[in-house]
Amino acid sequence: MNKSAISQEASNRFRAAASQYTHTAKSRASRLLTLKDDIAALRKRGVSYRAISELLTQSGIPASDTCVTNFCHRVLNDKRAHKSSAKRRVSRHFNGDTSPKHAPIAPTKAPLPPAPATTNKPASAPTGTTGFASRGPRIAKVEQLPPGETI
Amino acid sequence: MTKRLDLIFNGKGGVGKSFFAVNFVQYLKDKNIQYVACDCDNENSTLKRLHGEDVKFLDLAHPRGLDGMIQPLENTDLVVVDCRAASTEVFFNYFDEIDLSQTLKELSAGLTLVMPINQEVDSIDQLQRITDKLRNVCSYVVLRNTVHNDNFPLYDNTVIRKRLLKELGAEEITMTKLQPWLVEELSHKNLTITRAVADGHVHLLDRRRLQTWQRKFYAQIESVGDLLLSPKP
Repeated sequence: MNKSAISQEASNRFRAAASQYTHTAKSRASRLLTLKDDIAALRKRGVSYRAISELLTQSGIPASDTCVTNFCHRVLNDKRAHKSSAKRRVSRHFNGDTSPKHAPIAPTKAPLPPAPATTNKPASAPTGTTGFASRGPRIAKVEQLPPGETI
Repeated sequence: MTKRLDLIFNGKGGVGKSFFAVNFVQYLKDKNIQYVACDCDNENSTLKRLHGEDVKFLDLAHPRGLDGMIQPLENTDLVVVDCRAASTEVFFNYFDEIDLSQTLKELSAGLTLVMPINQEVDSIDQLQRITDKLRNVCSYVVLRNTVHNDNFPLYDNTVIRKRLLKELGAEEITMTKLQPWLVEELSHKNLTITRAVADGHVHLLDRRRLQTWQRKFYAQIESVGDLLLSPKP
């Protein structure tokens, strides 16, 4: 009898705490839900949970890497965390390695093949091999000289 | 070194790359200097709009698109390229792909980057990014665009400025503000300053304003002529 007896007061305390805990978790998830597509896009590009967490925090949305991990697992069904490095390596191999397989070096004096005649052609969205590799944002940061030092 | 490739380059948009390019190409025309000009901005091809058929369009989406700025160096001493915003990585990849320094050496060409900046931290950050990549492979001209403000307190005391001036031999020039109604009128009528003045498209006083601005601009160009223009034979 003594073993199973829980005071009404203790039960209430637990229920209140549980209620509070549930509320907090839901609130965090709701907040990230609005960014679901953006986070999914980052994950698709192999960006780590920690990096996403840092990006969110830098943008004024505090979220720990655990929070991001949980969100990705639960909402995005993301189970690939441990594979991302390998994926990135594969991606880098296919995106960045442009020589020598694809671009054999021409003899020194050989004339270059003509560049595309594009003088009046409207441009399409740049998606070719020359660039626009998928990357994260670049946040500008300029280093100032130490106080008192001049140029 | 007998040839020169000038890239007007800063990944930040709105810093004055195309405005500089339009007026620099006009300078070359006015001084009868032979050149090839290229515009690789597929969103706003301002240089091509103002100078028409004299300007080649380079398609950055084409794997050989940027070959179009290197190939003319085989027959021309000076190539000027107006680079589009947000293309820094495209150019870097291309430079790696063609082994830039070796290519320039074989063509007896020097590369100069004209890097316009304004008061925004992003435009200055680009200087860091570009010099970290290219170091002393090229020469640098920093163009202080005073369209918003004459002063550059953020840039003036930066580590990158010190590095550019002390280690990389960079030069700085200034592009003064052209009155906004004149910019608007030139843009609206697709006119360069030289054409606007010569054709009498604008009022006498505005012609004077344009000529004054152009005189100052040309003086700035000539102050760094050894970096921007191909050496005279």
